[in-house]
Amino acid sequence: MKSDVPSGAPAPPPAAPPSSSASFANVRDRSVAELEGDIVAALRAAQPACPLDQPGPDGTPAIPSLQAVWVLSQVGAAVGTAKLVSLSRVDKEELRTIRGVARLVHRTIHAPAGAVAS
Amino acid sequence: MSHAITRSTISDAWFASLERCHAAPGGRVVHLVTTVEQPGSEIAEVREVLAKALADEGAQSIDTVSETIFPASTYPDPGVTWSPGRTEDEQRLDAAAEALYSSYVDMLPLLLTADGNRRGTYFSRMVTWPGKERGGVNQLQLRVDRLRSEHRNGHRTNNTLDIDVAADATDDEPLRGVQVYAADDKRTRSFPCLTHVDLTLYAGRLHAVAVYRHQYLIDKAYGNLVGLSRLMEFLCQQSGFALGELVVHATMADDQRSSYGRKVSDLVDAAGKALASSGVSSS
Repeated sequence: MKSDVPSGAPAPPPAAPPSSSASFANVRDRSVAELEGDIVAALRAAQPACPLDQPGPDGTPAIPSLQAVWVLSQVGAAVGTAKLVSLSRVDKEELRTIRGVARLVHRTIHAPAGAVAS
Repeated sequence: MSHAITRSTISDAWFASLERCHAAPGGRVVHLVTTVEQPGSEIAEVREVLAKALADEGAQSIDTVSETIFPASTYPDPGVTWSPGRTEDEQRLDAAAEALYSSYVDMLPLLLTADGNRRGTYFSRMVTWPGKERGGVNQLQLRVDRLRSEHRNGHRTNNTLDIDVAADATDDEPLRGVQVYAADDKRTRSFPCLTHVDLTLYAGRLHAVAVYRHQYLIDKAYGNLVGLSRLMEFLCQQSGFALGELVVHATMADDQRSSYGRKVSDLVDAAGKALASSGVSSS
């Protein structure tokens, strides 16, 4: 993280700007499997520090729960709601892998109107 | 009676603190002051013992706890350290910091829906005080700006700074520390345990003291040390100062035997063995 030696290497590209909610513009039409791909792509584009190399119990990448929250915030922005879910009602196991988040998003997006996401 | 512990790494400092507390009547001690000489350094074997214990209980992971203080997974570390006059590096560091702040503030409405977060999170109070919505005071950036100013002016020690226990986020002296709770908060439940992070620049090193009202030594303490270390590393990277010591002052330290029962003893034994096998002496 720290370096006090000037580097002679070419500067890497600047940090990618935060992903716009356009990554999830068609979220309502996506299957869980497709959402898994969308989520990975969004994280790679906008959250380069998010580790994606460790498999979770379900075989998909394990992610920090805070990154799961970031994904939910981006999906929420795409569908016009800042609070896509109530985290107090979410099974925290669903926030630990790509598939868990994808399933939560899919279930929430397709929940009957007025139903509380859980 | 106060207790002072000084160790090199997060892991042996945490273990020594838990061991001391566990040996005390009722598993609690008043004024446990733990110093980590090398913030950020860990002993993997000890971390793994605790991580397993937390997972077995369904508790928050070490990293989840640490990210409540510093969300490292959302910080796109540019891999350079600030230095006066290096404009391109400064731009990269500023962009990375801005990405960190904006990502977190974007998530804030959602984060507030989690239990215990209704009034904000530790990090939200640091970057958008008072912490419930965007547009508040970014205490962290104020500290970065002030530290850079000190660095440009060749100041390696500022012993004229008073360490204000209840620093106001809008104070004219932004280097007094980081306020993480409101003095007018009248809650008697779900009160934030971390109340203040104080910063001291001395001989070119940045030191920190974190004050906790009630420190849960199994569920929170290790993750807190990791998070505080990462916060210090961020400030040092952004300002070019060297990393100093981290001190955590727990006004009440708790071994959580009321929740974990005999498992506390098992954890102390296992962690002690892991520490011993690592070759690091806990003394």
